[in-house]
Amino acid sequence: MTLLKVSDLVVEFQDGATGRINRACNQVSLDIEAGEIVGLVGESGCGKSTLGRAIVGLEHPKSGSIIFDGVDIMTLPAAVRRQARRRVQYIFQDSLAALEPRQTIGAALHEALIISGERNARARAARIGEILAATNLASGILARRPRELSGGQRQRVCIARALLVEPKLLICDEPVSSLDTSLRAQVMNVFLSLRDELGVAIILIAHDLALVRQASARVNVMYLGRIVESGPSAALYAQPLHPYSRALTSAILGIDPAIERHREGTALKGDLPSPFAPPSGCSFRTRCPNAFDRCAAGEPTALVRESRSVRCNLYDDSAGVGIAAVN
Amino acid sequence: MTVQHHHAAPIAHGAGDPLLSVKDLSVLLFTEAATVRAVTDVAYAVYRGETLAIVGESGSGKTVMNLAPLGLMPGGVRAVVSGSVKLVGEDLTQASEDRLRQVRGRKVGVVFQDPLSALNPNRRVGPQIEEVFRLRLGLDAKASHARAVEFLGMVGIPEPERRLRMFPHEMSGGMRQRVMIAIAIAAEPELLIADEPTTALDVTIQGQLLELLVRLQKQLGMAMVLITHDVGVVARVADRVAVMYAGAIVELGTVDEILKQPRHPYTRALLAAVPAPDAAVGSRFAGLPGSPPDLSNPVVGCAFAPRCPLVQAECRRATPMLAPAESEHRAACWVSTADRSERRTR
Repeated sequence: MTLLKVSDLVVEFQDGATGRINRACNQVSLDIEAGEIVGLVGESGCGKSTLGRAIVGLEHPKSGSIIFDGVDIMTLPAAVRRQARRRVQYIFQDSLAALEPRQTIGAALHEALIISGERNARARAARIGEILAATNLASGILARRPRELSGGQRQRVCIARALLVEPKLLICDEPVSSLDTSLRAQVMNVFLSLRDELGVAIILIAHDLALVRQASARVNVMYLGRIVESGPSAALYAQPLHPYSRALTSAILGIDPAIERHREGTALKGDLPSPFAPPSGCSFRTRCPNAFDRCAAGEPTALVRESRSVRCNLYDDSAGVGIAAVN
Repeated sequence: MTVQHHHAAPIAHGAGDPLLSVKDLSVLLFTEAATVRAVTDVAYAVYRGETLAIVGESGSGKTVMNLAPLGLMPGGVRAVVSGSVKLVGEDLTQASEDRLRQVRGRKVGVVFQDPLSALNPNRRVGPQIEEVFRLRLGLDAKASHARAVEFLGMVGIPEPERRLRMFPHEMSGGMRQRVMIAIAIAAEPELLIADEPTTALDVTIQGQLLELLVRLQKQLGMAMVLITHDVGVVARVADRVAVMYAGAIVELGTVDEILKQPRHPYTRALLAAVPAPDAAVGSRFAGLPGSPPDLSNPVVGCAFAPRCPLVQAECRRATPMLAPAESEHRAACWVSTADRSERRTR
């Protein structure tokens, strides 16, 4: 069952000083099934956080639609939108900033339940007990304050708090990137359990590509406000179609020195262009090793073959090239 | 000196004196809240032209170990350094502040994780680089401008004349880090210390900068100490590796020894925690339970014991130390095989 269907979403920001427009999400479409983990990757500034924030209601899209759990959220009156979005929760990168420093963890969790209407203290305590078990936290942390916890524990508290309202969808924006490598598993494995045991769907926004691959059934690659490729993660990483996906996946460093020390050159030259002045045609063409004359003129359309989708002139029918490569 | 050393293992150190020789180094940090034993009795050497990676997680002491002896500590933190840190025979722990400033400018270059906080946001980039040439090398205004243009080109910044007129915030993160590298190598130092130089950058830009660092190191014949938490970065650039945990070096060896035959259970856990490119999609992640010890309290026994899958009674009583032998693969662990940890009490 499709839990979330985002179609042709446009989110724009205006630079106050110059009046220029940054189209952070440019006609973005994305689906997620109930109980599915979907990854969203791309360089900083590609629009992946904006997309997540728009879904949860932290940004105001200019156009497009967001259908969550059968309800078209953007057509709802503002007053009932919040209610419709109750079962979408956002997990931020900075767990310290997301929690009130002077409040104990227990008080924070009780407060979240009181806000959602649970008046009975005993019922709240029982619910909190369940949620701590689901996030692999000991009840001893309830008496502590955010600063007294490790980063991994704190991020699990944020997840626990989000779970109190029984969300169907979690949007996790770089949830482990401020955690040490050895601690990331504590949080990532909680996500996998939530999917398996509670059927929670998760949008995982992260720049650690290998981590996203392992956690996500499907992955979307974003570049300058566009989803340029999407597909099952194993297939997409094994055979990336878009030149940008190829550059990203080839930049993942392995841990075998015999291979890594002989790495030569880099797949991608230069920086991301300014999102306020994206290149004409295909916005990736200025860094693309495969760009040809057509790319400056026309923006490619998305080509869909079975479970995979790619937005690149190399795979466009009318160019007469490369279509076979998709299958 | 040869720069053909790159990854030709085993590296011919032991032959010739090390560029940097660190012995019995301990660092105590005095913060408002507590006294932290950030580094305890470490010993290591850096040889000319090589890259030593210091790998460890937050709070392991990897940054403090490298920067405190140079007098570089964040504001408000007083560090007390004991032991010896000899750079070409000169003990930096005995040097005056003035002398340390000279050493930092000329003999040792430093690249920090966050170039935005290391550059003055209110000044254009050009004068900030030119100042380095004027103050460190005594060049006049014209010559230092020419050198600034030359060095920006050397670190791969296109249109250097135009970039020199930019403010730091007008540059991308990758370009700012290139500027920092240009400043760090301006006096052609013998040692470059790079503290998480690519951590804040996207993977695509990380690749470009690692390639740049490797190239500059060969070109200038510098030794490099690369401080990182990223095992992939270690595999890409390191000749030798020191693994740190809770303020101590727990394993030392060549990059192949550490990444392919790790001995310390912490090193093994760290490697296992890196998601494999062929891991089954949806499979559980490997990691460690718990978290590192609080170094404001005394640690009894092996600091890793509470999280260690191989822990035995001995580990909770006595602290294993690295054996003092030079240039061989060593781990500070009572349990792991083929090991000769030295028994010492602290």
